[in-house]
Amino acid sequence: MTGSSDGAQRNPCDLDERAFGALLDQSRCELEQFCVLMLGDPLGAEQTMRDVVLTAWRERPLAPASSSARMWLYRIAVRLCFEALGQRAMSSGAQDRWTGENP
Amino acid sequence: MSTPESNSGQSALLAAAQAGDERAFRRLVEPYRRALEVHCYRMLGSAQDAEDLAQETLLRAWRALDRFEPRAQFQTWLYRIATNACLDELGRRPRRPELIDPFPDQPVGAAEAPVYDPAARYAIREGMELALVRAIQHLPGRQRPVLIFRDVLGWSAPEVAEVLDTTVAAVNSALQRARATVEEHLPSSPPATLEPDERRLLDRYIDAFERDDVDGLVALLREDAMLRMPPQPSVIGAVAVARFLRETAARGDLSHIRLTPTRANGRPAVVAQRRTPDGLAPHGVLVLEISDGAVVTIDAFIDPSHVARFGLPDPA
Repeated sequence: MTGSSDGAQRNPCDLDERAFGALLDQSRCELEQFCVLMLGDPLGAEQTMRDVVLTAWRERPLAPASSSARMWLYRIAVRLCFEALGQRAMSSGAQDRWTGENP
Repeated sequence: MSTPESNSGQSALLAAAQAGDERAFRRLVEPYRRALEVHCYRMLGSAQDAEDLAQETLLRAWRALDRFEPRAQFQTWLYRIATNACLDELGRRPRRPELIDPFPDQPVGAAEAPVYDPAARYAIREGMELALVRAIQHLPGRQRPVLIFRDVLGWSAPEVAEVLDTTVAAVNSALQRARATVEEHLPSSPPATLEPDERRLLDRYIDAFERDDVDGLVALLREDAMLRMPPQPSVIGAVAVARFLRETAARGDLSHIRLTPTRANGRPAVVAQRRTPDGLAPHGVLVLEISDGAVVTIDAFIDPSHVARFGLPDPA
């Protein structure tokens, strides 16, 4: 994980349109890789990536003040991947495939 | 960003544009077009859509121009419109049945390489091998993101703890369990290899290329065979596909392309390299669908970057 190029370490509340775009630019490859591995499915990952971008932009003002933009983006990605897995598990009837562990 | 118009020049253009002068508007926004395309690309992750969305942005700006407050920053205003246009696009876009990039079932000639080795976690970074993707799907709960962050993306344990809202100790313990599960689910024997009849068909296919034998190639294709190569339109029909491969893809001589058999996305495939005066240059990957001894579909991924993933040397 890399350091402090523009946007990534800032608080999400401070991101304007351009800083948000730059943040996405820096993070997209790794985020996509993360989503593909989480979901095991490139098409689902693409959909989730879109949702991450939309959600991140909408939730920007709600981000905790202590959070770096990069960490916050990944928190959203983790959450949305789990949501996608949960929907999939429910629609296929399989349960507890992703809730089986509680560290 | 440098703008060719001076401030006063820009104000004059803006005033003219707000009064309805379309040519003044074009001159006003032209210096921003490229930057807006870059911004849209960053938002959407697709160069093709970025150009359309930059255009859409300018259209929206033209329609809303009478509401623009001249004291505000014009550039900021355009970025805001572009951002909204991209978000609309992201929300609206249906799932497109896109082709998935070719994934090697096993990199060519890499049978002896370990598929997964937590100690050499960066080795799998570029590969994203299908076996690993599948094994990861067995990980429950937080074990999954923990393993991906730590072993594939190379994050530190404290970073992973922060993003998952947990402790370093919990990350480490989840990681141990995750590694055990992944190793258990990775195939110990080399993954799928070509079936004998697939292999025979591929050999004939490759042979037809080597001998620049269009008729031989046509004979291997089902009559309604289809070549898919987005974003280009598909080519349909055995003769049309063979001709396209020879005239367009191979620039007039099939033997300009050297093919190596492999498997990708669970299907037989060939890695294509171009013969150049300096040796072989990576060209792309063709994933085939074979039915009843004939090639039915060819999915062409013409992008040199795919070739490296299949373990062929990538001559500089």
